[in-house]
Amino acid sequence: MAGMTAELQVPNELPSLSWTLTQEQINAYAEVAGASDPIHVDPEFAKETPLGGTIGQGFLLFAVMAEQITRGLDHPESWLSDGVLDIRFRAPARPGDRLTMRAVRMAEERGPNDQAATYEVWCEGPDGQRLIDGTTDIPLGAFG
Amino acid sequence: MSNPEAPDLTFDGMAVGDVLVDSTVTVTAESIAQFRRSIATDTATLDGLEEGYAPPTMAAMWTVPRVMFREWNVPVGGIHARQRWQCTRPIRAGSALRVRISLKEKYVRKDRPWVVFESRLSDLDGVDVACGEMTVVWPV
Repeated sequence: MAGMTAELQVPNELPSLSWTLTQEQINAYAEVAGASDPIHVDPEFAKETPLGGTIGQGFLLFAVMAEQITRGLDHPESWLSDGVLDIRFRAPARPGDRLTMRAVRMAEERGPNDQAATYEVWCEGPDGQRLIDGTTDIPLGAFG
Repeated sequence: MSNPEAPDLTFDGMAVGDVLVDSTVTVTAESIAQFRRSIATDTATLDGLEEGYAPPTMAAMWTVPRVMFREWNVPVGGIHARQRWQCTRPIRAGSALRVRISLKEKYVRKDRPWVVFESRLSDLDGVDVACGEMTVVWPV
């Protein structure tokens, strides 16, 4: 990874994760998580709303973002013990959208007692627009 | 989908501090596997976690989606605006968790009703496992 800081080996950017959201994935997540509002799983219903079609659950995208972060850590269990993810949903993701999750280290740490690295996180939609943005605090013990 | 047989949850009916949910859920290996499959992307889902650990945000589904929607009739059309999640202890298959959801804030902004639900998950010994805040634009 580019830009490693020599003393802590904390990467400046975590590996991104890209995938295509499908209605099948939305339906599968709805079944396991109970997030089955018709705007997510009923195309006929969703077509008649201002959104014009189904959209992915916020919690689903949240979970994939956490997946992307976890994969980039040497010791992901550290994040399970003391990690924070704080995001805002800006625009919906739709079936067929190619989405990319990214995490870039911020210049200013916000973690308590300088024991965490803070990353700006976001989800890019097919046109490069940010559908989700926020921050994550990752304990330094998750690295190296 | 919400439970139409449960009491209606309305913006006017909620007060800050109300405990809306106080339940127990059990994390099974099957549910972890099912969750992992549902969030799998078109590359291999290898989060580096030891087998048997729940992915970091899995517990969030035992707050509003799985539990609140079972215990309350929540109207459709809400907009999930913000989500904060903090993990404090790994969750393993076989764990029993206490889930408590309370109303932290409610307000009207730009003529729309907003609510903030605070969730706390703990093991049965009372040790915190995770906590979160979910901000929703309430349906009108």
